[in-house]
Amino acid sequence: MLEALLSLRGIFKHYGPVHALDGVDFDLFPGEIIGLVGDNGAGKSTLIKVMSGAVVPDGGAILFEGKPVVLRSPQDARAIGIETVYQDLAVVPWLDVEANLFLGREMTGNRWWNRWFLDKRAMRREAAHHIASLQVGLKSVRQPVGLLSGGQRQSVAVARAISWGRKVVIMDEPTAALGVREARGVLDLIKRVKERGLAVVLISHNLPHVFEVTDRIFVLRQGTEAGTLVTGETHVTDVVSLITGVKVSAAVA
Amino acid sequence: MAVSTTRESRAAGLRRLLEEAVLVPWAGVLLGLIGVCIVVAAISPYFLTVDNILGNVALYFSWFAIAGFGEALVMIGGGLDLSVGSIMGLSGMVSALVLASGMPLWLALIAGLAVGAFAGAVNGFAVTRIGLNPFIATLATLGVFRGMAYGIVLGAAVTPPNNAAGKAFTALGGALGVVPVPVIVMVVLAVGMYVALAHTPFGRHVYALGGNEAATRLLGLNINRLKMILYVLSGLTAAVGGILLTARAGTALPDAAEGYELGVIAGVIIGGVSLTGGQGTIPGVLIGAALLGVINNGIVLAGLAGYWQQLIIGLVIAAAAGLDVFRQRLAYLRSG
Ligand SMILES: Nc1ncnc2c1ncn2[C@@H]1O[C@H](COP(=O)(O)OP(=O)(O)OP(=O)(O)O)[C@@H](O)[C@H]1O
Ligand SMILES: [Mg+2]
Repeated sequence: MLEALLSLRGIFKHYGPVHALDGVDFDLFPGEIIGLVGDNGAGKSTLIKVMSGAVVPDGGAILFEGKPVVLRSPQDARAIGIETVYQDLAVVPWLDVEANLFLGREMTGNRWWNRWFLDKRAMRREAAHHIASLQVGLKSVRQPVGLLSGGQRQSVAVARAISWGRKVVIMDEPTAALGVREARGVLDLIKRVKERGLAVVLISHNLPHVFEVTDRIFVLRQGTEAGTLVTGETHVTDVVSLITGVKVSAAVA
Repeated sequence: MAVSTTRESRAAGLRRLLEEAVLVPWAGVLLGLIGVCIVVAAISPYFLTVDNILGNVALYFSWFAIAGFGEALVMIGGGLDLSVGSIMGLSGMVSALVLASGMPLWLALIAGLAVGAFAGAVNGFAVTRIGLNPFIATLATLGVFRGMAYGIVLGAAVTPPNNAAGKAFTALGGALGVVPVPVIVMVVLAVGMYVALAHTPFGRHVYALGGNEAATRLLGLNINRLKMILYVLSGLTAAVGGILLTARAGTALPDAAEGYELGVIAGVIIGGVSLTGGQGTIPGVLIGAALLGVINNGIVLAGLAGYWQQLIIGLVIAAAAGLDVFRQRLAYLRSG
């Protein structure tokens, strides 16, 4: 049996009377894409924020590669190789693509006289390399991100997570608010992440997208697990009934 | 895939070029500055003399530019510092007081700068720890710091003593050859600030903070520390300006630099710093302040009454702010 890369055990998070997460167990295996679905307010964003260090749970444990870890901030998660694309798009519109890709991790010179200064040439080279290898359709890494289309901008956010993520990339609704063609680009990008051997957690309300790219589907309902399904052995209606809780599905694993 | 014809791509290329010209934050201001210079030179042949350009125009706008550098950092970071005029007055006053008590020059300078840095830290504390809106926080400290400048001397003027330290102090308001010392300080600060903003990770973080604060926090940057640094730097540059202003005047008045925050912020906005944060450059701030200086000089040379200055500068600020809005629209920002 393969060991889980990231495991959550009995995670609780309450906002006052709201039980955003009510004892959730979650496993992510190396190299898989898992879809995280559920109704609005089911707790999806809260759950991935727990995984990415942006929210500290009230109770429960997090295991990474079998060892307990405490994630107090996004930096903690990043330090162990977990990168996140947040629902509320985390790019800075007036900075260019290169600056956004390297934000918070800028490269500086390596001589005594330039070690405090940005090595823009090296960053542009690296950024162009990442963008090209991910086949994001961008003419130049020197365009301000605010001038890009929604899909390109989302691609930049995804590319940033992929190029820094060493183990896990988490994406919160990366295709929301995108046109058909742009969503396609981002989905292709997600498949390429998997080819790199990274594990992916994908939140989406778009079930066709989830069925297209995921290996398993984890359904959250009102802060608890409603079921986990193997994508290839599941029909959309099974997922829908788990999400809504209207009809109990036979396919619950 | 879009089929692109030569004509289409040429039109698109032209549009790109135009867009980029408007997006270079200080291109428009530079054109404005050149235009105003031509007008003023036509009004008076005295305008384009070395004495006038350095001794009047550059000296006049050096205070606004020096304090403007720190103000620009705060504003690019999405904040605002209304207290710069009061900090200028207070730090100049403290330097003069230290000299008047017989202390050496270096101690007077350090005391003045320390007061500026401390005042900036108070602003930073109010914004980051208490969570006050920057407008409210620095509007309050504008009053507090000005009150302190009056309070510590009970409203009197303080003149540096006629000893070596006092003379060295007033020399800071003088000139090296034809170049006024404040102008030299302004140029040195401009270079340092430009490098910090355009070529260091710190500079990028300032733009990120003003451009998308939530994203900057999620990316793991320490927002509060960054804001604190910005307000302290603003206090420091205001103190430099205030000390030089006092040195130039030869005496510290409690109402020195009163209302200067308007000129400082005007220069910064004219120079292309966005009111909504995330944008702006140091060369732009320098050009913006220079534009104010030339307009002021032109009004004097044309023999117009002083109130024209307020009217004209008001119009220029409105034009600059309008250009800012136009630039935002042009960039059709749709990010959330
Ligand atoms: N910071 C917060 N403060 C208070 N309540 C919160 C906070 N964050 C989330 N909640 C609440 O927790 C519950 C779960 O929210 P969450 O954002 O995780 O849902 P979601 O599944 O991501 O929904 P959506 O599909 O709309 O993005 C909701 O009831 C929400 O109102
Ligand atoms: Mg959500």
